[in-house]
Order: sequence, then structure tokens, then C-alpha cells
Amino acid sequence: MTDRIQLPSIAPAVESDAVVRARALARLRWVSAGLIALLAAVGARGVQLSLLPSERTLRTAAVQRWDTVTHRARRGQVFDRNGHRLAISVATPNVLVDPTLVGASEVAGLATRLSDLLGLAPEVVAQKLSLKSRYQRLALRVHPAVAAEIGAIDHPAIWVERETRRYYPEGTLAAHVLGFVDADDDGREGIEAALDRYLRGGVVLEQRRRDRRGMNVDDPSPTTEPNAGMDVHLTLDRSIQRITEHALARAMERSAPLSASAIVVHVPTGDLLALANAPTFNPNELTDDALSRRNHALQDAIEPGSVFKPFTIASALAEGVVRPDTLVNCEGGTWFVGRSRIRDDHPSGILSVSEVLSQSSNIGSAKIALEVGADVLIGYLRAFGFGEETGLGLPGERSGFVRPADRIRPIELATTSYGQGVTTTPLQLAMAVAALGNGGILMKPRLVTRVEDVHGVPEVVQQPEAVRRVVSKDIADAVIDMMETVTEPSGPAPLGAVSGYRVAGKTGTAEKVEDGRYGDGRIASFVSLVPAEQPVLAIVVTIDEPSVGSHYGAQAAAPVSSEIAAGSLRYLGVPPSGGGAVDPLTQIKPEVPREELRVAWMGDGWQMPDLSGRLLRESVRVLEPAGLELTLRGSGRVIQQTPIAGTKVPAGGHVSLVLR
Amino acid sequence: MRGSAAASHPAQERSGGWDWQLLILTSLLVLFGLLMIQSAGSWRSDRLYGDPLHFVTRQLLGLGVGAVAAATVIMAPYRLLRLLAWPAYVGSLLLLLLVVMTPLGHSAKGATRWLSLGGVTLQPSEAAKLALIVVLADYLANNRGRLGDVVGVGLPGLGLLLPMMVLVIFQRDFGTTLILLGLAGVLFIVAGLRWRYVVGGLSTGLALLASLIAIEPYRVRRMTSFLNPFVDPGGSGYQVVQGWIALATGGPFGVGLARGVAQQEFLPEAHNDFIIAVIGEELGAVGFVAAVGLLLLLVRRSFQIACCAPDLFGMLAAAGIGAMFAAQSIINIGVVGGCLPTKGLVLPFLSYGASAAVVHMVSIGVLLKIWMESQLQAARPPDRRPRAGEG
Repeated sequence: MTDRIQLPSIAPAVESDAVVRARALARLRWVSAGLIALLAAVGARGVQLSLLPSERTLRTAAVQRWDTVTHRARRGQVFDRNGHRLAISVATPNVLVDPTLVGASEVAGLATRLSDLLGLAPEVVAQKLSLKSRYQRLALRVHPAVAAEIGAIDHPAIWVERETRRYYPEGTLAAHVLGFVDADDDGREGIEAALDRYLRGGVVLEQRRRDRRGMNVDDPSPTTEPNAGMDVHLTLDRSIQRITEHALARAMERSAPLSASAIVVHVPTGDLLALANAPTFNPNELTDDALSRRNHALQDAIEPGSVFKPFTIASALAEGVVRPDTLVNCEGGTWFVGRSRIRDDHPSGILSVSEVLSQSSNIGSAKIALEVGADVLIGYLRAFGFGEETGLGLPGERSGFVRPADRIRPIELATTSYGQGVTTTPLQLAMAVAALGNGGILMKPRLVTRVEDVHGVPEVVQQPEAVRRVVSKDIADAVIDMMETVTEPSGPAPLGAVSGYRVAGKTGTAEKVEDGRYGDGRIASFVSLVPAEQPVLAIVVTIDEPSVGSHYGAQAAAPVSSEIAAGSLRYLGVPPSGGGAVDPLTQIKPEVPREELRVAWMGDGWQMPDLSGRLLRESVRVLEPAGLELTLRGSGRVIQQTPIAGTKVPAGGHVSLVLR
Repeated sequence: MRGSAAASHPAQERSGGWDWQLLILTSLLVLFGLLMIQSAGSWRSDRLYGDPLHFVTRQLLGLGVGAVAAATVIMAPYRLLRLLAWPAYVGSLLLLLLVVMTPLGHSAKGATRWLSLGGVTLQPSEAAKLALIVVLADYLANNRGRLGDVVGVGLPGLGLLLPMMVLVIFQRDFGTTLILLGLAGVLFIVAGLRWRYVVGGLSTGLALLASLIAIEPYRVRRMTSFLNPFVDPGGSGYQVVQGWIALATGGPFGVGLARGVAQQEFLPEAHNDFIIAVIGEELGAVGFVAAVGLLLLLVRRSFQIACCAPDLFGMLAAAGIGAMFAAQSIINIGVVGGCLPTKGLVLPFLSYGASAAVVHMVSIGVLLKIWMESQLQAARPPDRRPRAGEG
């Protein structure tokens, strides 16, 4: 017996070290295998995310990490007929700001710095910086040096963006033909609008990586511009355009009219060598003055007045109704058609048809017109191009108004014969006059010779285009003979003469219609063909309401035409009359202007032009755009070129020239 | 296992021979880490501190301090490891207390994990992991073979874990809490805890997890976001989405060092918690696999060292360290992969984190010491060899 109760031991037996160690080793293997498997599993998951990312991940990445910028590639350039640049695109910096990234405390300091650099009022800048917007234009077209300083501020909210800006190196020159572009680089007037689809650069999609704040990580913008707009080559001649604008400017000073226009047409081709209006504008510095932007030469349909008479007489001669020496009774200055009275400014008795034209008798021309008849005369006038657009292609061209033959009363036919109750644009007049000079063949006015892409591959080529033969060459020459007397010293418009050249001209002094009736305002005009014996140029000058001095075409418009003719003929090197007329434009430059030397990209290489005989300067200028490596030997003119003309050089290839 | 090679070199006998495999793995990871920290962090450190080398110099400093400490461990006698375990444990607890209880605690990213001491910022929870490993290894080695006594041996062991866990939870450091729990679990399992207690512990852990989620609503939001980060790509899912984008951008071969975009503002934690995503972006899947592969080898090597440790303490300590490397890696990469909610745990050696660098270097030192000791003992004649389990 015992008083001690034997309790079962609650402490388990101590295991031996060997047992513990063996078990530990076994469990170690399990634990480590498990952990390594788990680690491998999450690793596999990572590889999966890396190599087979979900659609959603990629989409999110694309949205937040790629900055897709679309911008317009460089706009094409506009050249005159000799390759002078009239409109170009240059890169200019704009300063932009994202106001949401500007802290309230930073506004004042930033505004001060920016306003100093940009020359703006600090309040204006501060106000823009405080806007709740993500995009504000602080300043456009800043100086590159200023842009560099702005860039140096290095604030995430402020950045400088290079934007191509349209620039017209000749300023006001041919402004009405060229037109202008708006802030979005879209053509708004003139050629810029008419050929916008060629000139405008393609949309360039640019992807840039950006960080969380939207700042670009990579160096932005590739320098190449694959979608640059096409270049447009015009028929305009910079020098003749200058001469024309200069003459118009002087007319504005002399006669102080509302406006004035002048057109110079190359007679054999219908090329517009100059088209000018005054007042004019500078497309580089546009203002709100819409009047100065009006292209009167084709957007104004005006009553032509007496300058219309040559066409009436040409029609009559062509129909054989009269001959130049047929006599017409001009009734002493007053005549009635039905119950309507028509008058001559200079009353005359019996005149030959030639004299009807040179003396500008309304009564004479009315009688001739009534003799010809409405159907025939209106038919001829339409054939000369009146009453319909010339198809020049510039925006806003008017068609003018010619009464239909079946609805014209005799008095209306009578007035139409001397340019009343009918409207034309100066351009229509110019083309019709040119048709007389061109042996009776009406040409379509040509303003654009060709449109080419950046590699010089033509997209559009326009050849001179004849519309129709209106009258025979004999008839046209007969009318020109009559018109020549106008500028003779004894004629009505001696101021239209050009020393050394024979000039066929016709004056016009049209009464302007005001409130439905003829008022005091006059449009002085002068049409001419020079040199008369073989016309090269057709010139039309219209002066709207000369307010100082004479308002007659002979005094107000003829001298302007004379100035243009004299300057242009001298510039073109047209030999003076009597020495055998030669048209330098058709001689030196046949209908299509001579092919400019170019190195053209053919898709797999640059096509080498024939440089033989070219000056070094010229050759370098031609090859420069291709970025080819150039080796030169000797000086003077090129006598040998490798590779030879017509073969292709790969991009970045090598060209060697031997000169002597 | 590998004792024969060491034994043939008398010169190495004293030190026990280096574990070249571990040394090379560590060196590669350290270099890779420095490279990536510089690549992923220079843009950001330049922005934040005006010094593109800010992160990398601090990391180097941490590695240096850790290397010195590791060298000390290696030079000291093996048994000193066990003696140092307790002061390390108490010291870690004190530091954690300082973080929680005193104004020295430094908050960042919604958690108070750091300790600011005269310009130096420490993260005591990193040290706590290693301290817990060695102290539990020592405790369990001392009580080897008696783990069946749950009340007398098991619960006091848990008693070592609890104060640390509580303090870490107070720091709202859920990731480290989980790691501490896991490490303790691994040590108990290896030490021989009965399976039924293992299962019981796991259930308790899950219950704890559930209660944590219940009392901390911000964790619930994280929990819901991690599986499909696109539910809230701008908010709770933001980092993960950015990580995925980075990985997808990298593709097979990456975009190149320092060219990754993720690190530039998209990923605020690019240089530490999400560095694996930057590796994936800049070096592609190839770099990603290399990083994970190195970590795998490190874990494997740690467990190999554990297997041939001279005693149970060494075995447990090495296993604990291996488990720590593994758990940190799994959780870190799992978070990036969207398999786990966002935690804030660094990737060993690859992520920026000076405190972690010190601790991980010391851990390597401990592993080396254990390896050397095993080599020494393998070289000794069997009769002079101490019995396994005794230190």
C-alpha cells in the first residue's frame, strides 16, 4: 500500500536527437520544396504577364504611356514661273502651357518670368496660368531665342512646340493671287484655298512615350517630314507682277480711286503673268480690312463701257455685216432707239467703222450691233467668254452678265454693244482682248503650270489650253489695226502709248450704277495689246472711281497700262516694234516652261539629272535637296558626272563631278 | 556532404571553408540589385533628393554595414550565435516598441515602420525577422525532442512570437506580420511539431487573418483589388496595373537599362517594392527569369545548408533564413503578379532598403557560419564530433 498515487506521466517521452534530426531533414525537404514551388509559381505568373499580357493591359498602357500627336506636315511651297518662292512654310515656336500643372503659389513667379520673356503683361499671363484648362496658348510665333529661354525654365506645365508657319517672302506681292492660310494652316483665299488639297501637308501621326505627368520621355519629333504638301508653280512672273503693282500704287496716288486692278496676260498661252489689285494687303500680317483682300480683277463684275466696242465690231466684221471702211452715220451725237435716247460724248457725223472704234462712238456701235442682230452678237460675246467664268480656279470668280439673245430689247442690244447693261470681270476682258491678239483664239487663263510632290514628281501639269476660235485671224488683226489708232498721238488715248512699241488699245469710261440708275461714279479702264504687230502681252487696267484729276480711261487708266507695258516689254527683252517682233516668252520658254533641273526620288533611288555644262553653284543647288555626298574636281562648268544622267543613286549615295 | 573537399585542405580547416556557391549567388544578387536600384531609382532620386545616386549610396551603406556584421559573425565562435540570439531578440523588441510608443517612429506610406535616429532611418521589423529566427531556433534546439509537450514547450515558443507580432501589427505592417507567423511556423514544423498542431496553427492563422481584415477596412479594399486590379486602375489597383504594364512593355528582352518608363513616376515604388516590374520592363522576361532564378538558387542553397547543419540550431536557423528569403520573394513577386494583396515587402538584395540590406547580409553571414561549422565538424574525427543538436 502506498499513499502516493501513481499518476501517468503527462510529460511525453523525450525523443532522441537522431529521431528529431531525421524528421527535421524530411520536413526540411518538404518545406523547401513547397517554398521553391511557390516561388517558381509566382515567377511563372510574372513571365506570363511579360510575354502574354492581356488585351486590357496593353490598352491601358497605350492610353497612358503613349502620347499620340497628330500634326500637319509642312505645307507645300508656291513658286513663280522662274522658281522664285512666293509662299513658304517655316517652323516657328509656339509657347504653350498646361495651367493644371501650375501650383497656385507658382503663378506669380512664373507669370513674371514669362511676361518678361514674351513681352506680355504679367496680369494676362497670370490669368492664363490660373485657368482651369489643360491647354493654353501663351504666345504664338515667338523668336527662336525666346523659345530657347522659355525651354530653359524647365517647368512641366510649360512647353514649346514647333509649328510650321506660312510665310510670304515677297510680302504684299501677288497677295490676291496667293491668298493666305488661317491659324490652322488651312488655305483661306487665293491659290492657298484653291489648291489647298495639294498644298496642305498630310497628317503625321507621331507617337511619343510620356511619363505620368504627360511629359515626353523621348526626344520628340522626327526631323523628316514624309507627308509634306506639294509645291505649286505659277505662271506669274515676279518681276512683271512687281512692275504691275508699282504702276497700280502710283495710280492710287495719282487718282485716289476706291480701287484699281491690272492683269497682264501672255497672249499666245493665256498665262497670267501678273494680276494685281490696289489696295492690297500683306498676307504675313493679316488685318480685319476685308476690302483690301478683295480680288477685284475677278471678283468684281462691272459694266465694261467702251472697252467692249472692239468685240462688237469684231463680231460685225466676222459676220460680214460691215467692213472697216463701211460708213456709219453717227447722227451728230444723239439718236433714239425706240423711245430711248443714246448719246456720244464727242458728237460726230459720218464715221468709218474704224473711226467708230477709235472715236468711241456709242451711236455707231449701237447701229452696227442692231445690224448684226441679237442672236449673232450675243453669240459672239459669249464666244469671247463673257457671261461665264473663265475657269481660272481662284475662289470667288464672277461670271458677269450678258442678256440672253431671246430676251433682249433693241435698246438693250444697243447699249450692250458699248458695254452698258452687261457686266464682265477684268479677267474676262483680259482674256477676250488676248484672244484678239492671239489670232482670234480664246485661251483659257492659266495660273498654275504644275503641282509637284517633294521629290519633284509632278501631280498635276497644266498645258496652255485653247477654248475656241472666236473670229478668224484676219478679223482679229483688223480689229487690232483699228485699236492701234487709239494710242496714236492724234488718237484719243496717246497716254496709252509705249515708246518704241506699237500699242493697240481701247479706253473705257463706264458709268457706275448707283441705286439702280447711272450716277456720277466712273470706272476708267484701258485694254491693250503690245506689241501691236505681234501681241505678246494683253493688259487690262481698271480704276474704280478716280477721285482726283480726270476720270476718263484715256487719262486715268491708259498711263498705268503704258507703264506696265513699258516695264514688262523691257524686262522680257521684246525687241522694239519695226525690228521684227519676237516673243521672248515663246522663244526662250516654249508653252511649258523649261524643265527645271531636279534630282527626283524614284522610289528606289535619286534620278540623276544631266548636269553637263552647269555651273558649280547650280549643280550644288540641284543636288542639295537629295542629301547626296558630293565630290568635286576642278572649277567652272561640269564636264563629267558620275553616275551619269538618268541613272539612280541610292539615298545618301555619292556623286562626283569634274568641272572645267 | 561536401566535407571531403574541405578536409583535404588543412589551411581551411580552421575556418571551415567558404561556401562559394552561396558567396557567388549573394554577390550576383547584390550586383544585380545595385544595378537595378540605380537604373530604376536614379530618375526618381534625382527628382526627390537632387542626387541620382541617393538610393544606391544608401543601399551600399546598408550592404557595407551588413557585410561588416556578417564578417563579425563569421569570425566569432559558432556558439556565440546562440548567445547573441536573446540580446538580438530583446533589442528588436525594444526598437519595435520605440517605433510604436515614441515620437521617434516615422510614418510613410500610411504605415509607421521606421525609426528616425539622428538622420538615420531604421526599419526594426526587418531585424525582427532575423531575431525571431535565431531566438526560436535556439529555443527549439534547447527543447528538441520535447515539442510534444504543447503546454510546456510549444506555447512558450509561441510566446516568443506574440509580442513581436503585436508590435508589428501596431505598425500596420501586415506583410511582416505574415512573414513572422510563417517563419515561426516553418521553424516549429522543422523542429518536429505534430501535424495536428500544424493544422491547428494554420487554422488559427487563417482566423487571425479574417479578423484582421474585419478590423482594418482598408485591407478589405486591397483584398478586393488585387485579383482584378482593373476594377480600380487609378486607385487600389494602380500599382499592380502599372507593374503589369511595365512587364508587358518589357516583352521578352526589355527596353534597356534605365529606359523603362514605369520607374519614371508611373510606379512610385519602382526602386523597392516593384523593382521586379522594372527589371521586367528594362531587361524583359529574360531579366525577370534571371532575378527569380537567382532568388530560387539562394533559397535552395539556404535549405541545403540547413540540411547539413552541424546541429538542430543551425538547421533551424538556416531553414528560417531560407524561408525568410523565400517568403519575401514569393510575397513580393506575388503582389506584382496580382496573386496577393499589396504588402510592402522588399525583394531580398534586389529592392532598395538599407535596413533590409543589413539584415540580409547578416543572414548570409549566419548561413556561412553554419556551413563553415558543418565543414569543420565533418573534418573532425567522429569521436571528437559533438552530438548533433548540441551547440
